[in-house]
Amino acid sequence: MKNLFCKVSLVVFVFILSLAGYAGGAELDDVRRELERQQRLIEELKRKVEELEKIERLKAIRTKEEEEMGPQFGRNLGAFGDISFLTDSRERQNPTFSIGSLGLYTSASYRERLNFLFEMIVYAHNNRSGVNLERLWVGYTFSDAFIIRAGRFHTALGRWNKSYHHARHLFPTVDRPFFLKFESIGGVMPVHIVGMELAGSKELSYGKLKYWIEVGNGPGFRKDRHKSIFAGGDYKLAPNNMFDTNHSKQVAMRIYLEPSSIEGLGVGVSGTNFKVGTSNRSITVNEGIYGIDLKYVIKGVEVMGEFFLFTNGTAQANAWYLQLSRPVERFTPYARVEVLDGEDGDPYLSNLSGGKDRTQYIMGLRYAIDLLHSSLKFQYRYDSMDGEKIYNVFETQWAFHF
Amino acid sequence: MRYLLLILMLLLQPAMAGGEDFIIIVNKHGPLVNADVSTVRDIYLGEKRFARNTKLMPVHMVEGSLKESFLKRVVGMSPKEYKLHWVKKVFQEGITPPPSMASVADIIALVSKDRGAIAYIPAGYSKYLVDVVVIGP
Repeated sequence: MKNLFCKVSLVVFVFILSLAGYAGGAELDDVRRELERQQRLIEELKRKVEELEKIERLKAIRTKEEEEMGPQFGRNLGAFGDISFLTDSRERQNPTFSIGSLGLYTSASYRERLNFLFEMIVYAHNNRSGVNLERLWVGYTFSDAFIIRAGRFHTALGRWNKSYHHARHLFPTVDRPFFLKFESIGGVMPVHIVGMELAGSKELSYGKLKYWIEVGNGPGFRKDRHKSIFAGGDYKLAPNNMFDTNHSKQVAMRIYLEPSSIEGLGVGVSGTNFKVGTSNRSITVNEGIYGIDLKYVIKGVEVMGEFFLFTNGTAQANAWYLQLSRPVERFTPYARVEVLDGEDGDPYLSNLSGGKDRTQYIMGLRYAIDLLHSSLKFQYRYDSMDGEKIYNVFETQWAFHF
Repeated sequence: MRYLLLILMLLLQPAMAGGEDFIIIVNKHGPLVNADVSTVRDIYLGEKRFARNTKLMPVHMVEGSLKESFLKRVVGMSPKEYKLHWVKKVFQEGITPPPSMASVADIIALVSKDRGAIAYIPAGYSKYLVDVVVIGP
């Protein structure tokens, strides 16, 4: 009886096992089928992804071709402007609000080597307004060390003139140092040049070297209708955009080094030589301007300075500024001294409306409403000019960039 | 299978991009294989635009913590300072700032095709790179 029970139990056990095996086999078949289905799905997805990629590639090619055929100019038009309020000053005779010039700029490139830049100024005076072409050049980059440009540039004289251009929002202060002002408003340096420029940079074992070499039309002397403001000579410098008024060409050059051994330091030397005169050649001067510029950031304090020596064989003069600033979050307190000191009878400076000896002490505070787009400046300026009234000027400026 | 994994990684991309760990990648056959951090910095600042006659093409990830981390650790600037640097650069030299791309797959594809391309991507993607070399940080 016991044996029979054992045999029946064994048969039942084997039967159950075989049933379970059958069920397991069926499940494996299901899994296999599911895997095959997923494999087909993956293949299908892969095919669709490849098709989509092909369409995207075609779209990209079409878009690039369309872009190349269309105009590039004005695609990235930017604007710099400012509005100021200032008390009695040499430039403005009453406490006054003043609209600064509006600088519009755009740039474009083709296949990364061909570049173009355009900057114009829309300006307004009480009785007139107008448009000035400020910078216009086309350039080709052979390498980092060799870029060639042709057009109208800011002359490679010192640091300020190649850095800030017409963008007062980028200025640490309300305005340029007075002797670096633009030619039409009393500046005494040829800050624009029309011609060719070679530029480049090279990483050397002792630091980074940059250079600019320019050849172009020198400026001319033109009657200054605003000479009464500065009480100097009768003329202003005027860049010769379309044709030179004499046979000689202006040459300018700047070399700038950031030594790797002193972090935060940049030192530049620059110089220019040009023949300047009136169109009827009643006045002609061979002028040389040679300068050294320095920028040093140490413990958060930015020290910036430039010194220029003017020489023409008859007389010498010097112009310099030294500026200190210390950004703390959005606030930047600053101070600057700027000086023009010449000799009597200098055939260059004595003919320029802004050529009189002058000293300014400036201190102020810049507040960045937004680092990229807007800043407020509050400034005190002590302005002393040889033989003229001294001005204590309080200025406020709201500068912007969009 | 590698594509499948890449697709899965891309689906997880927003979560991964939130991290700050990144790797810098360049084309395996390009001139930047031995570039150091200082060179990478110069490239992203527009100071170095060519290497062995190859036009360099730095690419950013779209705005986010990964870009912020890269700018801070490699370029040494905050995103705002970096933008201001490029406002000045465009205004002074008329050159174009590096573009940004949203898709890691697109960035990897670009770097694997363009000899002058350089980019940074989340560190988790290092296993899925083809024709691309990791040079940093």
